[in-house]
Amino acid sequence: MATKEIEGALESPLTIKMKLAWRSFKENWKIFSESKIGVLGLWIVIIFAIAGFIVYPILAATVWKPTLSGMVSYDPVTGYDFTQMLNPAPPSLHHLLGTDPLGRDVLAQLLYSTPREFALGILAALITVFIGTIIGTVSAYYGGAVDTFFMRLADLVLLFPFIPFLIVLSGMIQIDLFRLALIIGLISGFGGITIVLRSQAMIVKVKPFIESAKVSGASNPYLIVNHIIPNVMPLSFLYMMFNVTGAIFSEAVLSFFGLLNIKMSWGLMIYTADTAGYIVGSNIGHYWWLWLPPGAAITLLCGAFYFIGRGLDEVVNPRLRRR
Amino acid sequence: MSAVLEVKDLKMYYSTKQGMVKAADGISFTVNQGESMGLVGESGCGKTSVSMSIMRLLAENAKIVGGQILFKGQDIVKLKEEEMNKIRWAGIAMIFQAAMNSLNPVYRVGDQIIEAILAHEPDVTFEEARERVAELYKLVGLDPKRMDNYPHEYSGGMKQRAVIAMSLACNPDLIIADEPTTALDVIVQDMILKELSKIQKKLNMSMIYISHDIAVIAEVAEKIAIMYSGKIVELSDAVTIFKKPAHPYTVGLMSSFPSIHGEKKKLVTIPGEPPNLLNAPDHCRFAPRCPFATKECWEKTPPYEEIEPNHYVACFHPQNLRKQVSING
Amino acid sequence: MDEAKSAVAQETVLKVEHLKKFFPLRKSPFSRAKSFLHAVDDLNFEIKRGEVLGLVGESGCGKTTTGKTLLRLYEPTDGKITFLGKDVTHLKSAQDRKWFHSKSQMIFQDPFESLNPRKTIFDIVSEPMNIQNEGSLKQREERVMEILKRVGISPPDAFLWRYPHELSGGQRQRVAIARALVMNPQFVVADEPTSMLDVSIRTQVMTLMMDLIADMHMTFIYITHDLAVARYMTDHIAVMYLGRMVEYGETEDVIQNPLHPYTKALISAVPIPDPEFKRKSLQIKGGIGKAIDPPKICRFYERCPFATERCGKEEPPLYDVGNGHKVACFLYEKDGK
Repeated sequence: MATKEIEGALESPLTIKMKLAWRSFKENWKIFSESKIGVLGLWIVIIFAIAGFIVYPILAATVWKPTLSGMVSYDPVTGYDFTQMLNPAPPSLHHLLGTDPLGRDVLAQLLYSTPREFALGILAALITVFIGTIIGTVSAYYGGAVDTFFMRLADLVLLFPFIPFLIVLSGMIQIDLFRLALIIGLISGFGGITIVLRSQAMIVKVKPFIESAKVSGASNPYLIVNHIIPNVMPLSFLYMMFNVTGAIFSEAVLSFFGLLNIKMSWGLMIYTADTAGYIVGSNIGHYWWLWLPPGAAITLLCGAFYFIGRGLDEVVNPRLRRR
Repeated sequence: MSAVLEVKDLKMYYSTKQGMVKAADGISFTVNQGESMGLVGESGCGKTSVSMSIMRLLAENAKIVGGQILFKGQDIVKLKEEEMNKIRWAGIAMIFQAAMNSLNPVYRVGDQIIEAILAHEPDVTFEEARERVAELYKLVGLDPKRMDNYPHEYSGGMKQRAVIAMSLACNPDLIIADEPTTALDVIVQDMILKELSKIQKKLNMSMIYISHDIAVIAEVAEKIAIMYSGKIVELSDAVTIFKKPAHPYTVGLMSSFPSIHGEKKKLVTIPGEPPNLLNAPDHCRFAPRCPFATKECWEKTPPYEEIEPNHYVACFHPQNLRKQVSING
Repeated sequence: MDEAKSAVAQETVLKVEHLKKFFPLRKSPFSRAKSFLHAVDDLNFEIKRGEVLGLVGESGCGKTTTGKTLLRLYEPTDGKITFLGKDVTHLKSAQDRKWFHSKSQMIFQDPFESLNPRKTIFDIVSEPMNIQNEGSLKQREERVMEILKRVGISPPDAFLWRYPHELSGGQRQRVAIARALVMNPQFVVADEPTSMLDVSIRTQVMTLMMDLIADMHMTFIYITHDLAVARYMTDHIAVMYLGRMVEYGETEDVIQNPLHPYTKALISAVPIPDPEFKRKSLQIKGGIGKAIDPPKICRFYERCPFATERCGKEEPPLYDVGNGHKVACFLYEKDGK
């Protein structure tokens, strides 16, 4: 039940709203924290975030600084270890996860890519959810021709051959991370998520509190913004988590095909190892440090966001809660 | 008259994260052969918990922690699940709240009843069961030809009749009807109530009718138990309950109920709200809303006593109250 | 009607003439409607200031549709609605809409569903003022506190920042009433406002509403299926059957002396909280249907125990049998005007 009562008249609307938000955050956190899988996901994400946003800059400025390390370069994109006789080299004290076929440090590549994976995933998911929420609620609310148009569009987007399209597109324009996030965001925004959020908005639309606001003279945009969107928002947020997973995964696939114009990413690490012939036949077990770290990173981070989504599901869908 | 069901000091608690919910806390009553008892109470007072305990259909976190439920002398609290399965339907049948939705939409209504019969009486052949269903249809006022229809082809009232027929299928000794007419319109409700009373008398069955609506209870029950916050506060024959109520809650309930019959009296309200059953207090649970509450009522729980023959009340001040009522009315 | 009495202070607030609301039945949003559900069919009545009109009938009789059409949640198919002397049937201009919506309100059946679960009590109660841009934040706050206190939510400041799920059913319905009355509406439609509440809470809410109606001189339409509740809440009753008004009159008149066979059946079916009273109910055949493109005959014809050949050929008009008691049945042709 309610944690602490917020009493009194309007001290200031903003502070009250902040207090209310904090209170509902605490309540929801309590439910979320009961889901083991969600908490596990959150921990994995936090560890990755620490590694990418804190550990990497520190390492790059200290031990991995070119002047300090002498001949050994740790630059993830251009670095080459001259002290190493043969590349790729297995893990050693200098290179905790070994080097890649071009003599670059695998750990440095891994850490360097982490913030970029986050940025891509979250940007793509934000765009998806923004488009999906607006189109889903508008379609549901107005119905009729508007609804039919957007739903048929969603059907088309869902059936759209995504990967072949990107292969062709990559031949025409340079796809960097930002553009990729935009493309993924647009395509999934008009696709599946719209259908899900629309059906949620349909449920909200027929609630008596909508009629109650209409009786007071509320306009259609007012109803969508003030009543329907806040009630589909939790679901949007949930789907955002699943979309982060989708975006990171798509990036890995596209990098693996070498279709993206990016300096370094987990997918690209595997691509480099693969094109140099280290992931074929018996090599796959021998040169494990080339594909296992990026592969595990992709799996873990995608899985972690999915787990968070599962945990949020219990917050958003009360029927899943065990009481 | 022999007792079909004797409930003695039944205690059924739910354990929740916030604490114990004492949904039934020391419930005692007897239902005799051919008698219909009404169980009245507001939502959350534990009336459905009582019926679920009798049927032994308990939620995972619910447990009968004390008392006995004697069905024809046998304590069903102690029965094994397989033994209890034999008593359900054949001994005690139940008509649930929103029973109309309990029919499976993809099977013919008649077949669902036949299936229930065959499941409980393996010796019966399909043809015999079908004949029995036809009889039951006639009994509840349905055309036997409608047996081969699907539930969506029935109206709300017809579905309710079919569910009653289903509950009668194995000739139970006791029927528990839990708000069976709540979702129905008045005219249909009236027909179903009449039908149910008629069948109950004709078959000399016992019935427990659970409702929040005292007007409906007045129509069907000979004996009435009033429940409040997990306890029976008053139990007697229908006329006594309506004409000489002794517990302040019963008095309040009677005078707050609008009627279309007779003089238009002023409605009296019971102040406050029904209490939460969670971590219920050790004093009289009606005390916070009771106009007659004294210090005693805030200190201990009043005993459930027979203040006159067949009139049980759990209140420290029933007597003077009764005088007051008889002076006024 | 009592001419002297009505001439004094009783101003007609709402006048409804030949109101019709038909719903097209379509197979898909693009096909043309072949048939229509006549949810409300040719309704005529007027309500004076401070008067409570009860719309009673079984589910599907059109009573809720009538209420919602009057509040313009549905566009009327035909007819005329006059509110405070002004034609509000179509509300073409934004100014008219604002005027009408700030003076009319609705109370819903389910007190949980009619309050947005993600809004606080302050947001919910002040929303009508917010939509109409009425008053400053400070004024809104004062008004919300005042009205919450009036409906028995006390102390109001302890409830302002709670969410609906933290309130009990009775409190929620009080909040819904506060919200409806926050702008001092002149006309309120209440759709079964007590049917989801517990017995003891129901009486509290009924008493509160009766007090408020008397205090605020509101014109009220009380929609209910429960005649016993209607008896206590209303001054006049209109009994509806399949979209048509079959009987209208003063509440006690209709309850004590029902004329239409349907009203008789309805009243005789109401259970009486008295075990010694033996009701005699008027049995009628069949169940309530749906008025889909109904023929021009009496809609109760097939179920009526008194039906004559004529009832199956023409539609009975409303006959006035005196004291404003009107009934749509040929049995009263001689008594009526």
